[in-house]
Amino acid sequence: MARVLLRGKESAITRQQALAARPVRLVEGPVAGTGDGGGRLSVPLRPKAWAKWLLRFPAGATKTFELDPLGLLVWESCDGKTSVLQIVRKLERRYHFSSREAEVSTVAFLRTLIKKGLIGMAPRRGRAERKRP
Amino acid sequence: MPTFAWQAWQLELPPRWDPVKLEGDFDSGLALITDTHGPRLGLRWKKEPRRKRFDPAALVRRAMREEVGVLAAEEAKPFAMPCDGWLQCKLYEDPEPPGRDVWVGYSGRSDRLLQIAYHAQRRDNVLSGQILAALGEHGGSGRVPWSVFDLSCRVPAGFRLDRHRLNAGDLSLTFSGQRRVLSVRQLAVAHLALRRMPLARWLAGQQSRQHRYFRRDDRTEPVEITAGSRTLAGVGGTAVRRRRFFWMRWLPPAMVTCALHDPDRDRLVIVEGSDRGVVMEAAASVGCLGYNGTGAPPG
Repeated sequence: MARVLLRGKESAITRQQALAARPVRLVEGPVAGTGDGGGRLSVPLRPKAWAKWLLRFPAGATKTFELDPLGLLVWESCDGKTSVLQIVRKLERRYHFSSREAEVSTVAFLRTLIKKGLIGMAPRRGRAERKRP
Repeated sequence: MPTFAWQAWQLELPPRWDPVKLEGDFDSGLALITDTHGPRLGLRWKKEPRRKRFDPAALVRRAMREEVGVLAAEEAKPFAMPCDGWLQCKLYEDPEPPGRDVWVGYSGRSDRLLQIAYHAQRRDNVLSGQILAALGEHGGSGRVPWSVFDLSCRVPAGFRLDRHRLNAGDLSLTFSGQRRVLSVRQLAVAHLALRRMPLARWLAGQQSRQHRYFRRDDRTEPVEITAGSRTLAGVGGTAVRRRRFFWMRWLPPAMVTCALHDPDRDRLVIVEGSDRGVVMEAAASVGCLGYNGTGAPPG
């Protein structure tokens, strides 16, 4: 029980920290334009050893994600330098969204990308951590 | 500055302040407004009908006492509102921010007690100089303004908000009153939405929500509405109540729907209602408040 509580405490991050986190792409793949401002992202499939054996994945198999212009903008912003808040502001300016609308849609989309294993979140390091070698 | 108009209250909010919680109805309810860092403003209203021995001062005093406590309530000062209609107002400002500033006022127009709590990070005049200075209440006659996020419209008096669905990019408000219904929906971003589906299919999709009670007429007609300097063009259609529901007199005999493209704001506007005139009026008013007027297409 104590362990569960402690683990919960460790993973809890504040809203500010979450917005200051910088999403970073975990996979690199070519993005082919779709002509409407969006793009098709192809990422190599990395099946587990048992799946490779059981399902006989061909070498070089890829998975394609279709991104609309908004999705592509967010995907391109996931460079490890741009924070979530900066992405929200970018969407807000470009599409004239209200702050809340832009935030909700960006966070929902980033969550989907995380679930798919396409991006990870680099938390902003504290001052003490940055000093450490 | 974005305008927030809800249940006949109207406020000018600082940039990037958005409502996150909206509950209740005209008689009583609450609204919580936050910015990126957390809650900033809370509104709570309640209808207090005038009784025989009615004293708005006592009502405001009691509400202030319940909100901030006895000692702090004694420090609250009367606050003169720039607009009339307020019978009694009091403001308490926390002497040592960060803290909570509270304003309580009784409106003679709607007999409602309004409480506003502002989370002051430092001593500033956001509440007294900005929010309270622009705080207004619609009188009850004419067209009532509604504005939340990017969606704003004017609705004839007598319509009450039935339900609201505020999803990112898909905002809708549904009203009803005196056996009339009106639904205003706004979708963003229009050029992406239209790439996915033509306007006629958006119209059909909206009409199919009432599919159980109303039979959609496949014929559509072009609709063009002028709203100020903007022109909204689209399609309109009608759905008739199914004959087997003839006994449901509370349902309108027909529903008029129009789906319009607002190219200046890059939004799709879908308005549905039982009265054609009301539908057209509401559609023409969409974007009347809070619209920044840049007219710049995105991208």
